[in-house]
Amino acid sequence: MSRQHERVGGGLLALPGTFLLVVLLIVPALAVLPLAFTNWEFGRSQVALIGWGNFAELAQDARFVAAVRNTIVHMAIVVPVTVGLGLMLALLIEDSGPLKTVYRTAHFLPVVATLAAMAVVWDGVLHPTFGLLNHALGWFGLPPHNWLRDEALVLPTLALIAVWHNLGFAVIMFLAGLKSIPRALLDAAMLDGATSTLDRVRAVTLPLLAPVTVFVTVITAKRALGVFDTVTVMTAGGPDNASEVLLHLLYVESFEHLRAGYGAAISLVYLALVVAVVIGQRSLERVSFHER
Amino acid sequence: MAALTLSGISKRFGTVPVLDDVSMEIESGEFVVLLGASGSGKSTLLRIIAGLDTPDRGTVHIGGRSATELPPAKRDVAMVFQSYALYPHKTVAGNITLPLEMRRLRPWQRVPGLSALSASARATRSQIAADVRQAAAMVGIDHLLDRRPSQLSGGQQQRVALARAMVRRPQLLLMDEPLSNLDARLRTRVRGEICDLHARIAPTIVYVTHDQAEAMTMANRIAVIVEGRIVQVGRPRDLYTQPSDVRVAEILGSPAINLIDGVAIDGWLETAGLRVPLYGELSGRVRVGFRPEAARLVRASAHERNATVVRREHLGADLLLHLTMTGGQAVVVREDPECPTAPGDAVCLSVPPEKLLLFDDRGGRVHPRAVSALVAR
Repeated sequence: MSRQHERVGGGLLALPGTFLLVVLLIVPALAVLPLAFTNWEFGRSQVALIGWGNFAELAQDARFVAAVRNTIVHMAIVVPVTVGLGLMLALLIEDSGPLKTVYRTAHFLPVVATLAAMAVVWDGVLHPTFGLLNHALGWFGLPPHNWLRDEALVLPTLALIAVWHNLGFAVIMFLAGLKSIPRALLDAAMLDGATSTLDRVRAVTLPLLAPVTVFVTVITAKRALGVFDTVTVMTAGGPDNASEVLLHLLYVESFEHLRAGYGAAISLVYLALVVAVVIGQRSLERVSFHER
Repeated sequence: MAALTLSGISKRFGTVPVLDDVSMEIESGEFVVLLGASGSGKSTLLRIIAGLDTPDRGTVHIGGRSATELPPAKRDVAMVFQSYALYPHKTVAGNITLPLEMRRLRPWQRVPGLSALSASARATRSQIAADVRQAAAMVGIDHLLDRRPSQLSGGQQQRVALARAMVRRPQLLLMDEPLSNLDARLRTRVRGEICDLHARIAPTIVYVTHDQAEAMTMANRIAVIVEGRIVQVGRPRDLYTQPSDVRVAEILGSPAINLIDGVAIDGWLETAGLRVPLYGELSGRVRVGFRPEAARLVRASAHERNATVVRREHLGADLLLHLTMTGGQAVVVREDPECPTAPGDAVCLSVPPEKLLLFDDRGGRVHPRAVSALVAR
């Protein structure tokens, strides 16, 4: 009787959340699936199933191929740099005494900042003639670069902005992970012969941070895959598709060219990449988590 | 040769003094227990010996060599932590192996796979594996080598910690409350095993505890630490029967020593309405101590009765009688279980003069000889 009541009550409490989840996430996600096999365009009344047509077109579309490649390259730069740098900074901050709070805040600020607004700031910093970066390079006698208009530089530049944006999150996560390592373990390692900090990091800290590292890696990968704001505000995919990425292309095709079917096909490809990252996380977990 | 010499060790945390001018010498093969309440500074002293904390003043010599400036790894000491501090990501074998790997292999030889390339590294590795098996067998965990610490019981984890500490045959084995996370039954058993281990291979052990029973049963010598100072060092039996300070008398023994306040005037000790003649100079406030087993209930006439039975505690072999003296002080007496008393009975409590311990008002032991037993006259 009371169990029955509990079940009904629980269901009622979960209802608003479930409703929003279904309407905003599950239905649209399911709707995308059939849409990807049609030639539907926003505002047009006729819709025809065209089978794999959209995907065949994607394969021929140089802009799409560039977007896939750039998205993956972007992720390949952002993830290792963010995780590596984040871990190093966390280790340094953990040892830094009274200024710890200041460092923590300074590194976390970019995470909470609105990226679209920050992109405008970065635009200024990177400006070819009066940008701060080229100015600073000049002090050291280095030549200026047109960071966002140079095909070879634009993607690494965007990746570094993404690192800047994500680093604070990685640092905070690693700091939390470091806090959870019992002091006695490091003492024991010290007595066991791990005299240098590096020895102790390798023998104790890194293995115990493995779960946090996997988590940070996956979250960073997901965020790197979803790069959009900076591209939209700063480069619009240019020059010559050198900074075109999946989400930006998806936006352009769906909402500028109004090709909803084609956009749906792109979002399926994006979904496949995200799923690949999740599967990667699973296998990473299996390798690196010690059994508890 | 002294295995460990501490001279003038002092340490403050901020403005709080933790250790104050601690000096001590420990012989090779000795089992010394640092006994004190929590916050007495005993664990800090152990960490200073290990090199995990640095003293503000004073020196540490290990095996005749100055170790004050040496890092922990160079001191040839090992430690068993209260939490065991096993590496959760390593197997039992991996845990015991680490201290040997760190010492016997060069950094590049420790990289997984690389050591297979060098014949000498391979030889060292197989020697290490043999030593690890031997250390594990010594504490009876050689069948658990492939397990992770999380898959072991508390007692097994404790043995792994012990094996990890013993495997490199350190000059000095430090133990920081190693039994406090075990249940009572297991604690007694492991206590015995550590004693056996000490008898078999005689490592020098410095053992920190707040449990007087551990100290009494395991130690060759006990150092009682109170508020950052060593109050008395000696064999367990000597400390028990001849404490130099009331705080030593209080910390040793269970049930605790009976202490009653009194005054010494003109060769008489007056306490709880009783008078005892004394030899020797003593005046002012004193505390009179006697162990529960030192007192006896004796036959006496009604006017000689000086205490009332409050409660009987039957412990099987012993009977603990909780009494209230005429002056109102509560005392405990260990008696024969056959003793025919019931709560409410008036009894006569007697303590032979040689069993009375007298302390002055600063807690120091004083030695005027009581002439007669502490009984009513």
